[in-house]
Amino acid sequence: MEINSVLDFEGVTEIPNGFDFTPFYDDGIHPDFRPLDSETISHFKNKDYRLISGNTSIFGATGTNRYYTHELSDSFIESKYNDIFLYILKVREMFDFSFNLYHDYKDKYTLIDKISEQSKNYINNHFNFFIYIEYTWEGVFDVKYFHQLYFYLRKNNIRPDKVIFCTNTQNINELHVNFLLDFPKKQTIKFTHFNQCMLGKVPDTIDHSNGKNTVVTEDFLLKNPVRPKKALILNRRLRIHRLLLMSLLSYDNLINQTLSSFDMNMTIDDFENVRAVLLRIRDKNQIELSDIDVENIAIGFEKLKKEKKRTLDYDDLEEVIGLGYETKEIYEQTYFSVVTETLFVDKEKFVSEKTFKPILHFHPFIILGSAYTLKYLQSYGFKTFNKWWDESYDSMENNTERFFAVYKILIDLLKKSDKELQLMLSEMTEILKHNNNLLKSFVGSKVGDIVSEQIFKIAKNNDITEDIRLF
Amino acid sequence: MKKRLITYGCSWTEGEGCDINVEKILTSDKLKNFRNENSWPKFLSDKLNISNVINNGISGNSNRKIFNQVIIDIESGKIKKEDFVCIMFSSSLRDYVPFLPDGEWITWSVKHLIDLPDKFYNSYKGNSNKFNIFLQKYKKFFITNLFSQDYYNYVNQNYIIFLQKLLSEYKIDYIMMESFENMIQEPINNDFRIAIDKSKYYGKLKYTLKDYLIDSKIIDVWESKNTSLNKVKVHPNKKGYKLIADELYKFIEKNNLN
Repeated sequence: MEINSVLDFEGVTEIPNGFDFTPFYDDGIHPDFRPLDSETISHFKNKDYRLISGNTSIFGATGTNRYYTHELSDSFIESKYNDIFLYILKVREMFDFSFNLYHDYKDKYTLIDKISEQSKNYINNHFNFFIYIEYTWEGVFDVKYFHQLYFYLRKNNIRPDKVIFCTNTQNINELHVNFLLDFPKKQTIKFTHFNQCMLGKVPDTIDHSNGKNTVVTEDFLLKNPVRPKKALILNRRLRIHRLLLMSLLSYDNLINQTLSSFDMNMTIDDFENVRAVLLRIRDKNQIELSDIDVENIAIGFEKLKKEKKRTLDYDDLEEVIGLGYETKEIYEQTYFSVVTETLFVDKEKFVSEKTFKPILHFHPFIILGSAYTLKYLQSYGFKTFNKWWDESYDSMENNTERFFAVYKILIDLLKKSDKELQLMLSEMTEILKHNNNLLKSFVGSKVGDIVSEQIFKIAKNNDITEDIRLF
Repeated sequence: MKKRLITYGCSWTEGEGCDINVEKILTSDKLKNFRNENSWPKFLSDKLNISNVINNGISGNSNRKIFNQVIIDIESGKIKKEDFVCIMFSSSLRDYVPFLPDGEWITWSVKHLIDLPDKFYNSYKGNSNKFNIFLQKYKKFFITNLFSQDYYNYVNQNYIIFLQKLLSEYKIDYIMMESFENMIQEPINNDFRIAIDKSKYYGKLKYTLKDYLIDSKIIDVWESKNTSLNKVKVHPNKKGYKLIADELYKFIEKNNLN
């Protein structure tokens, strides 16, 4: 039982499937090129072409065999009936770019349109030949994404049940089932999930892994010194749940007990009239704020607004992205982290790299994010902190209840003395070490073995309600 | 020298979006004139030295309506041999379709369909609640299981070929082009494109005027100050319409079509 990845193009370096050659022909460039080279990518970008496909690394540790389409034949695939053949497509960045939803481009094709005819025949005619599409850039997965996928599969005469689609979105199956209630299908795509953000954070656990990362050591954890501030809250963009949290802390005059960052220039909403924004959130039933809450948050926000921007380790928050950019000092100067996740009120559940940052710096954490985030972490073997505070917030599906439950824990922790917090950390040592070691262990054959086993299960599964995670 | 420039199309021909701040305060009787004065037919006529412009662009127009209007105007003699005709096609999804109840169509554009699909599902409001619910359900089934470009490819090729043959028969000079969506899209199962005279078709059935504006890389050519096109309602502004006129003028000159 082996995994075989199939590529349409043979090149000097690996050319991803779904690669569009048109720009090269149109510009008179002979197709003797290397699409992974920065020069080629610059060529695309300078000409405003869409670079819509990339390579995935999830099968790297599985010992996958590689074949080119022209090397295969029907009889060869049939002879390998115990194996699985995967035609891998990786959405390069945003789903919208690769699936013809971004209208700043004149091109009107999708990744699926670029599959070779030969590969389409293999996909439709062999039970063990599948398309594997990976989209792990963001956690949001809109209904129109399902529509686009099914539409372009139909347009290209590809059976949906021969497609394995892997996303970062934790509850992708639940969203898919809901979609199918409205738009029933005879054949359905096989959705699965792996957390690219978690695996992407593993290299950051190593000190100076990219020449600039620094991470807290176990020695520091054991020394357990007094720290100048209590909580670490990294915000970057002030999404609405982050704005509420920071404004309330500001109103309660607690912000000085934290190390926190944000940049109002990066906010999505117009906060000139913050009361109007808060009332809109209330009207949409995203978070039910009382009149007093609205007033307090607005007062807190006005204080916060005077600062415009607050930075810690990096001044240019535009530059800071999820992977890399680790600085140990901000963790050494605080006792615990409040993770303000990317998604909070959304129907998608998504655990980003933000959640794994405290783990790699031996920090305990409270999470202001989707419901069941802690349950999700526990499913991978991470341990959380129910012994020290009430983690029932994790199962609160009501956004308002969850928000204020997290805020209450934060307030209670900020009231603790340095001595109490040191004692708490000392009691947590084993858990913090366990979590750090577990994250570090998600490499090599451990990942490869699980992925190998799961991909066969996913390929065989036709029950859309069954949640089979790739990793 | 041509006596008149006669144009047909949708909002992109009428001139919608030329200056939204002025447009929003004008009464309907003045609005069309204002738009026409600031749209590509006017700017093109200036370049071609044609003083008389008849702009038949109507916001919301479908290709079917454009097709019929051109036929009526030729048959009735409204269009004469000395005229120069420009036909700018719109989104195919605006045509009434024979496979849905009479008067039903899909939506304004592909982008509309993707971003606001409920407008299509909920558009029919008959007297029977049971039928309304059925049609809503059917439309969801249709959009995910049956909707395809095939029908439009077949119809649109026929629109183009019919009009080209008609205009040629009456020896009327013309050009055709697409505003923001392609009339014919891959895969093309019934391909009659060989019968289309592409020398008179700007973009050769592959390149719309919207593509041209995107390629110009000039950001302030759209009706909204937001440079992103990811808004459902997007038209060129006056500057955009001027660019379109320049581009069409080059096409006409290059191909000696006037």
